[in-house]
Amino acid sequence: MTEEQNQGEKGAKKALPPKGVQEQALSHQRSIWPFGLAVALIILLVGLITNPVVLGIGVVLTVAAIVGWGLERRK
Amino acid sequence: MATRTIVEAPVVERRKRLDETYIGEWLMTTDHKKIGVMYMLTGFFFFLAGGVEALLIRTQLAVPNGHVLSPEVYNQVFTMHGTTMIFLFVMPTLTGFGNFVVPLMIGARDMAFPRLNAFGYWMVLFAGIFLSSSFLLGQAPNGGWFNYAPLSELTSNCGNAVMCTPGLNEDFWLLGILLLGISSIAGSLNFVVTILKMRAPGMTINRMPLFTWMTLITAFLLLFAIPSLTAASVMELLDRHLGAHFFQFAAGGDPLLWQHLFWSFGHPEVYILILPAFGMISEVLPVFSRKPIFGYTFIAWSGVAIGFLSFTVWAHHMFAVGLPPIAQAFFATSTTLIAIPTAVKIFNWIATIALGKVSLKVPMLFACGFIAMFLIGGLDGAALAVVPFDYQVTDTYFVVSHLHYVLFGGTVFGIFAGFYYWFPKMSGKLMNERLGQIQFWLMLIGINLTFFSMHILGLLGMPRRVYTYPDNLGWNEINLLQTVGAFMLGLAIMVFFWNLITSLRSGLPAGDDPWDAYTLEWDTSSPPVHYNFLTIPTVRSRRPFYDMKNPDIADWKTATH
Amino acid sequence: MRMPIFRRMKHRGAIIPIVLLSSLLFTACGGNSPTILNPTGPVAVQEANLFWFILAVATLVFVVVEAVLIWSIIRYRERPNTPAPRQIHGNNTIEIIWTVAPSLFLFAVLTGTIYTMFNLTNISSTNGSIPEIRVAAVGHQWWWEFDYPNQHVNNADTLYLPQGSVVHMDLQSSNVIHSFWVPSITGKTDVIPGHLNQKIFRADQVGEYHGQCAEYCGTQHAHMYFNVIVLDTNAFNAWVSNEQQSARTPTDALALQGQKIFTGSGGCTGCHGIVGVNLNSFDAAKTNSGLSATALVGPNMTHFAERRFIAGGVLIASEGHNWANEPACQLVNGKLANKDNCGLYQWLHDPQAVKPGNDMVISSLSDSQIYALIAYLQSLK
Repeated sequence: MTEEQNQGEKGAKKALPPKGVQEQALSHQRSIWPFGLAVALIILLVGLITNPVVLGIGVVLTVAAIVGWGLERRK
Repeated sequence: MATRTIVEAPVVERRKRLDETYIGEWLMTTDHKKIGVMYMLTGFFFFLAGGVEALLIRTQLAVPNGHVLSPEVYNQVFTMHGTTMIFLFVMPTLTGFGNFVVPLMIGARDMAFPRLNAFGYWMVLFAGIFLSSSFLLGQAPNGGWFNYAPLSELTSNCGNAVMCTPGLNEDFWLLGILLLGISSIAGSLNFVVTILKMRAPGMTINRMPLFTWMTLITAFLLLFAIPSLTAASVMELLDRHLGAHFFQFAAGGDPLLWQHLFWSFGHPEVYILILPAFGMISEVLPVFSRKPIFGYTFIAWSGVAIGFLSFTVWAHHMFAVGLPPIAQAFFATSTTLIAIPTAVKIFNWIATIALGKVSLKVPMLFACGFIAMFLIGGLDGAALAVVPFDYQVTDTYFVVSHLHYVLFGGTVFGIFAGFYYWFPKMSGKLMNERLGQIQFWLMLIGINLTFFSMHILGLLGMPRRVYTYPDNLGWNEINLLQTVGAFMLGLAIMVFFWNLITSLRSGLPAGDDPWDAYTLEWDTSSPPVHYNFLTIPTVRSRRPFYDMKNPDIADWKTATH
Repeated sequence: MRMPIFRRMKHRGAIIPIVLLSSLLFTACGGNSPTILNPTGPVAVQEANLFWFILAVATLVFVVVEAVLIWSIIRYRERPNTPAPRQIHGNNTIEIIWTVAPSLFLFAVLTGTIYTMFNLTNISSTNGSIPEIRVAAVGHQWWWEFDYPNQHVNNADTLYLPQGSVVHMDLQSSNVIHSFWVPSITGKTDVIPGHLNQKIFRADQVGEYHGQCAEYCGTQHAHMYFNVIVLDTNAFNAWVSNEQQSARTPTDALALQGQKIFTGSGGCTGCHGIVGVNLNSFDAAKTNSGLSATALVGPNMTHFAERRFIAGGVLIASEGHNWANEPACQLVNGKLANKDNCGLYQWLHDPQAVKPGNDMVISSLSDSQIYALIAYLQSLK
């Protein structure tokens, strides 16, 4: 479906910003926190059955990851 | 491409940031399409792992008194076969399809929570690695995929000199399941919000594609079923490590509690495994019959009915445990009830094909094969609801036959139908038709060769989960036949992977709309640009893309919905 | 575009149902199988009849639906000049018909199911002199114990039943969940630690039937068989009388030697009971908690020589023999001619090799010790 067709259906022609900038604006924002939180959680759960030390590290990392996730700037 | 202005980018003098590298692109992505692909790749890898486990099982059982695997190893292999196939192959693959396709189908740019989406994937990958690493320690889970207590608990509850599972085996299972549960909840939340809140303008609930419907119902099922499994797993971990007694009768607990909790998850789980495949079939059949799905409303709402009813049937897995007859009668009734919406679906699918213009491309072959094989599995299920008959065949190869017809003949065929259908959209290339046909026929014959005679084996008295059998009970030839069939299936899978790899490398270009399809995901490039749609389309019927291509006979002109 | 492989075959759709259904002929291969379709008691008969009914219905539905499916695919396959089909969205009438019709039928089946379920326990005795018998089946890892509280008899691996009597079975487990199943006589019921499940059935034909554990219970679940021997009233009474006796004192010198080994320090009495040797009665084998899980780990051996099975059927005496008269286990001059053919020898020589993981972990015995034990065990008739 082309832009013209779509705009035709809607009636009035809207002025769109240049394609490159628009694509930039719509791009996905990458984030390391999902991966980070997953790593932290697995360390935590492994620590549950092995070492309390590992468990402790896991807890700390998990909290850090959740905080990092929450504080990340999203557009 | 004509001339274009080159904008001078500043010369990069610093090292690339993580998210600018190829690895970083995948490690940090929040794009539903990339995440969908990662889910599917991981799922297919574990399909191979589970398949190897299956071939090991069948090799051990090919002849009586086999010595290919010791009982300890066999018990780990069959446990991991079930666990891997269900939790590490089917669920991630179906989630992968949902991830890739659903936002495109509903005219959205991404899922509602992109980071949560990525998180769900990484949890699956790590859980899979974690579970598989148990083999390296020689302590893979060995209590069956259903992990019944008290066998799966510790020594203290198992008679005098006998150890139950004091090693790490069951701990791997329990923790792996907890990790996967977190992933499923994350994914389900995302699907529910995305589907309910991010549909394109004009796409009411009654206009959204059936694959989206089924994904939504599945997400709700997961949200309500996983908690039972999580609770049971935590309770068992407490029993094993902190001296609790939830499942140990000697201290006032009850082993049956595990079964009730597990099957309260386990039964909705099997619908979780099949509903998305129902959805995929419901997308493929209309396109390759060149007419709309017959009875859209009935298929959609029968899916909802199945969803609700799936929480009322769990104890049909427990007919032999000694429940009061009244309770058994209740579950026999609810199980009979749930057969009805399933039958309705099958009739509607066939009615979609009838009076159509059927194109037997590979997706359609798998969709038709799905109907044919799922029917057998479904009839088995209805038979198992006949309680006194169930007393004889439960825990025998009859049930193994049933579950493989619905999961292999059903879900896996649905997955291949969906894969051959959407692969061109994901990659821009077409899979090879001839190889696909070969794969299909090998699989169709292989499934029946392997699993049909298991009905008979069950009737002849062979129980499940046995690492070997004696040579004088008349089970020998049938087992050998099944092993041959299993290797045929292995061959078919090899054909598939060969097709996949060569098509990725040098498949014919697919174009945007190779199948002349009806739904919005085809109104994009192949593969879609990263933002999916430049402008979100407005939808006026159930087949928005068909409408755009055929404005004179558009659905919104000819049908009222 | 017709599939290249099938260019010449018109009715290929018929192949699949024919192949599948003809595989049912395989049921004929299982001549020796513990098939559920050869019922010898009222419970199994009702369960088998339900199967035949289900088979008839399922076959009908399968054939009709598959036929419609295959016909639709073939009849409506695209050919070069096929026009675009009518865009049919649905038909409410037909939806109602094909929802209501199966529902009615399924509910008829459900009624039959529930009726049969409640009727299964409605059986009466055809044996005038022994109308009822109570047996407890106790699942161990990995063998079955059978206890007859009223007769004061305790046995393992083989369940003896009188023909035509109503059997009231108490089902118990000593550790994990197992399941008691004799396909020709009755469907299965699990034994669950902490639960007392009960079952009623009747065995109508004299003979020997295969039974096995049907719930995954650990490493050797595959070797937890038992057999059921149904005897006419006189034979059964004779068996009971014999079983009620304390163990005979052996007269043979080798057997006496064996008894010394059996009862010596570090000997078999650590795990096995023999009434008259280290047990006063069969009841003494039980714990006080009311559940009849034996306090001793291993099976009661008082009348071992009469048995055919060892250790859940992992070793079985040859057809028509028990361990007393098993040809391969006949001692000649206090030795076995071909010891590796004798199941009893194999078991005593290395139980872990025969059934890895089982409870019997013993230090190795010399051949002469084993021969003495064999002589002793064969005297326990």
